Amino acid sequence: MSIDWNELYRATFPDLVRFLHRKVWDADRARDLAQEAFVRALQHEPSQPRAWLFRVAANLAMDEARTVIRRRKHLALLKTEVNEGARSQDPEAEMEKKQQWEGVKQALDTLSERDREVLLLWDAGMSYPDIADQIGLSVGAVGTTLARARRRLAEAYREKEADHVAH
Amino acid sequence: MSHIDDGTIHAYLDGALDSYPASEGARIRQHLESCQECNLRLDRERAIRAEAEAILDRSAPMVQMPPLEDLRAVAAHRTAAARARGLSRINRWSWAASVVLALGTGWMLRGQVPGTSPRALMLEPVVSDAAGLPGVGAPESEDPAGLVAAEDESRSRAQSVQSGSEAGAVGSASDGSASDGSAPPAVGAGVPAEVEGDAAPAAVQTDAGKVVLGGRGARAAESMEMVDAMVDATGGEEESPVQGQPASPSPAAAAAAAGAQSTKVSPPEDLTATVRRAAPESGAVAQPLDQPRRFEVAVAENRPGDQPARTQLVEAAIAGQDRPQSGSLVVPGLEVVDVVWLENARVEGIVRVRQLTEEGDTIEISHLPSGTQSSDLDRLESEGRTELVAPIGDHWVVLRGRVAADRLSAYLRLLVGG
Repeated sequence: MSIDWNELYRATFPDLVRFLHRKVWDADRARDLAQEAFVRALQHEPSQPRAWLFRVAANLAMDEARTVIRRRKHLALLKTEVNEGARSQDPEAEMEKKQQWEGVKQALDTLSERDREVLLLWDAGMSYPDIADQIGLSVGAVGTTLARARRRLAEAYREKEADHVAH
Repeated sequence: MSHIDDGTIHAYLDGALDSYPASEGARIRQHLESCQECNLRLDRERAIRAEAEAILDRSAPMVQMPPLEDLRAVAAHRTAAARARGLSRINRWSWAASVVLALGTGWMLRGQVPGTSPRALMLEPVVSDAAGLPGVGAPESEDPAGLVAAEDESRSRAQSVQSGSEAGAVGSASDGSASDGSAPPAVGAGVPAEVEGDAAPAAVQTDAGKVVLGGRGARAAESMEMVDAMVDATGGEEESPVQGQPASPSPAAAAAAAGAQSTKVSPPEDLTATVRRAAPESGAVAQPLDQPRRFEVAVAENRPGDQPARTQLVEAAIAGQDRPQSGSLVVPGLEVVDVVWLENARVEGIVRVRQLTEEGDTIEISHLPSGTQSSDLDRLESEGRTELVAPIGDHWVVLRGRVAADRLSAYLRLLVGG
């Protein structure tokens, strides 16, 4: 079966960046990793490209976290038009956004790795069977994991918010 | 019918009941329609679900999509670069197999028989150009997922390897008591192994740190320089299987191996490199190791906490198989991500290969030299990964990955020819 790459790209790339961003917490890097995953998919043409992309993306993010030597070097061949001016136009808004990210990151960090992974995969649009396959769970266990992860995330975020207000 | 559990309620809210058996899905829907208690819980869980989604939405980045055609161009560039060199997918990585074997045999440097000179190693087949390889040999402008080491560090690392081999030789001389053919170490991840007669590797101190042999032709060439440096330090050689057994002491074998030279060839299909090592000087005969026919494999699935909670012997033996006469740390057909000589506070010479499975999972294949314990490898740091520890003689091969144990076991069989 041939892959409709345009449709796959349109439907998956934003989800992939969203998924990766919660792992590396750097929007540019998340985009770079998503691009790298797509380049690899274009080379390999996997039979289940969406699930494959998320697998590769998860591995890339893990490698990113592990890599001792990091070199910030974007894919120069990819001319992403980043409007740097728009980013810095409102430093207060930028700061507020960063704080929000930090709050979410801290709340996510309270989850176990598996719970976090399942939650992020679901949030990125993966189906229960695909999540089950990727994580190695039964389909039924995906719901149980999501229920626990969502509850824990909400509790942790509320606690962080309360601490923030108290200080 | 009993009440619906929270997980099933979330599956219901996520519209995932279609993934359940049809009869079960129908029963759940029917129960939720009629059970007041479950409906209260449904409302509660719906609120939690909405709250969690709102939290995650707060961290959503602004997504800018580069044109797909740009990505296609990068993919085509990589593919064309590989094809232009006439390398098949496997062959593209055969250099890595060779280098791994050369590096991976650093452990042999310390398996010294008393009274003999330090052993050194060489390898036979080498393809040193890996440019254009996805993930590692990417074009100059690419840095896929930070997997490529900084160029400026590459050279110093190359020097580290060279000095590492020298120091390893010194270490082997000081080891004195080499592996003496005792039983293989205790099986099991995280279980300290007792290797009788192995000197503490602390005697081997070098500046050899983590060495990344990633991709570009120049770096691969440097790798070859490292290997050459190791080879240059050797004397006459005799063949020895990869698994670190001493070569056959038979005069015929020694004569056949005498005068063996390092050659750089590009075997089109064969990934099985032959590792050779120097024959001991002064006529000393290498002491053969015990060659257990039992090939044991332990699997540990990590759990939160410091030690794997479960260690299970899953495979007792490869019946009727002699120990393999050759091996590799590179699973044929899988893309190599990188090859690293791991630095460890206690031991050196641990070589790790990372490869990408067809499904996109990364597996790690580590070789721990003689005198080490499987616990010398860093413990599994993430949940859900599987570790397979295979003591082979007096050394170890450890496979890790977020894949099922039977897959790892299959990969191991590919490596050792079982």
